[in-house]
Amino acid sequence: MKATCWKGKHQISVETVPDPQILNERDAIVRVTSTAICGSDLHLYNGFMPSMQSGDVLGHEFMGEVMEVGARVSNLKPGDRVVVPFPIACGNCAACLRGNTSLCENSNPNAVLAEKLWGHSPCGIFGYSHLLGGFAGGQAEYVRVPFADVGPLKVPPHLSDEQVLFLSDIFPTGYMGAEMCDIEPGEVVAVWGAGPVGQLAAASAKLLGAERVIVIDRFPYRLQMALTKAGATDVINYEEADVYEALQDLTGGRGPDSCIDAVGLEAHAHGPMYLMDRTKQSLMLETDRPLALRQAIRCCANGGVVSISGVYGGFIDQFPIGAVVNRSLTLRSGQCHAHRYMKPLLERIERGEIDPSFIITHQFPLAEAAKGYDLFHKKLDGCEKVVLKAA
Amino acid sequence: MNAIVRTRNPESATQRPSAGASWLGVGLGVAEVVLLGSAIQSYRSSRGRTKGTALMIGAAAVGGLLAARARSAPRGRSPGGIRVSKSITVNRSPSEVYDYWRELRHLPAFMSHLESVTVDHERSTWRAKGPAGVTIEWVSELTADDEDERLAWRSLPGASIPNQGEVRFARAAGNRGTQLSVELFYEPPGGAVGAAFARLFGELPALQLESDLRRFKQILETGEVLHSDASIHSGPHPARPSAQRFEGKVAT
Repeated sequence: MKATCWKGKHQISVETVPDPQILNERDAIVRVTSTAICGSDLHLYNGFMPSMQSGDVLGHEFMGEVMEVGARVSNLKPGDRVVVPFPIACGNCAACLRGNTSLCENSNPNAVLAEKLWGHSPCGIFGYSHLLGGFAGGQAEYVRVPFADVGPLKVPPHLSDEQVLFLSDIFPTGYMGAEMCDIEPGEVVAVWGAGPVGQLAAASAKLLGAERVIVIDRFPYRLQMALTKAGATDVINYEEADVYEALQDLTGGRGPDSCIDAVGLEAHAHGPMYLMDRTKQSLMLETDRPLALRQAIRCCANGGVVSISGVYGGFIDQFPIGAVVNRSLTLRSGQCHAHRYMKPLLERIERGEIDPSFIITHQFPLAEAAKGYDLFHKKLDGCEKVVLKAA
Repeated sequence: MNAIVRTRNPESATQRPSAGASWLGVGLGVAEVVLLGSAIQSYRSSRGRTKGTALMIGAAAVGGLLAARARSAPRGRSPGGIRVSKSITVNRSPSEVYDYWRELRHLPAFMSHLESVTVDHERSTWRAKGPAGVTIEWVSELTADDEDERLAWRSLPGASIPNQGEVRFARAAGNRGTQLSVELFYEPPGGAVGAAFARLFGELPALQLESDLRRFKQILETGEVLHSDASIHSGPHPARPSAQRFEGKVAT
């Protein structure tokens, strides 16, 4: 089959690899129809994630048709159309039973490695390094899905791939980012980053009752999308305005009640702090550039919530713990427990409350995956979200 | 009973009266040593590299990069050998966990270097894969068997890798199943080389023990040992499907 392979920093190649096979009795093999490039895939593309190997098959946002199921999968049959959540979760461990599927205790065969880095291991993830299991991803014609009796969600035929594909990751991720804010009616929520997760976090904040949603980015086309499609009430271009001052003005000096960091470890900014973080990162003195996070903490209203949806991998410097402690801020985070959000969010899509396909700007055949990565990385041609058609 | 990490003198375990008719768990200890042996093998060879050492190097690289020297459970050299201990929580009752472990034929399913365990009345014979395809065999006896609570064992005189160990099963707080604690002592192979290696790469046995216990937890909680595209290979392999048909057990 054809599969999108990581060959090194900024090297993506669609290659012919062996077809997947059933490795466990709870597996399914899915023929991929649509798959997407995630912002977090760009962290792999840019070489920020340790434990990648040349030849790894990428992709954790995908959907398609069930082709084959293992002996212990009874809820799916060949022909079913499914969306697959990006966390691999067993459904049996204490974490899964509490609904925290991205903390599954049984799905990362390299858990001992992840423990060295993070203290404890999270779940395994499709196509996302050996630290998170060494599972082939779904930017391919076929993919093996472990614990298929737990993860895949059947989707109705009247909804298009584009409408439901993002249930695999970024819609639940954006939604959880907003949900962690415990939004009360009338509150003001600010979202750092107008990438796909930021757009869907903003839209989710509106769904959850925020009165005003302020989106911060530097690309006018992305800010325009936030205003016209995601339901943002205000946008701030940080290349044109001081974000702190702009938020103070927009909120009468209170600051946003909640702040969502949908940027993560490769934040961009202007000024000496950015140069310092870039330098430290290149010298391996810190692994992540927390510019958006620092700013979100500084801007957040007293007693507010800072919700981190963006991906961080390691360690940061200059963390403003004084602001957190002295102003009673709450930090919340987590890789999305996608399983628990898929069905309720599918229902919202079916009811017409939201159509997350608004973020798609580019569609390519799978064979042109490398072009998709390049456009998305360089933000060329108004690129917001790339969908690859595998069938 | 509730102590997870103990510093008991290893000699005291051997002095316990033999409590039973069965044999247990020594595979863990010897699997550790076998892995150590194969690691020494690859340490000497500039070419081959075992998955264990690859993991180790990866972990060391990550740890060094981040200057975060995470340590696993306390361990170290003790008079007469190496000590390794590890705990894990399994979302099953102590009696279910004890029963599975007590059925010795189950053990090779999660102890990756163990080939077989055969029980013959009061003794059990263990076969493990060693370096360069060599099979190591030994006989052990159980020294304690407290139902649903504790099992202890030791190898009989004449074992090429003398070892002893203990597993404790305790109810986990908050209705979270069973806390399983394993403690092992063994004599490293290869004399001075083995001892030097153990000092240099002391985390390897702990990593192997933890991997074995994680597989044990997977079997009890999910009914299977989960494989990934990379994990079905004994050495480093990209996360992509394999051309070979997978037959259910990782080749080593």
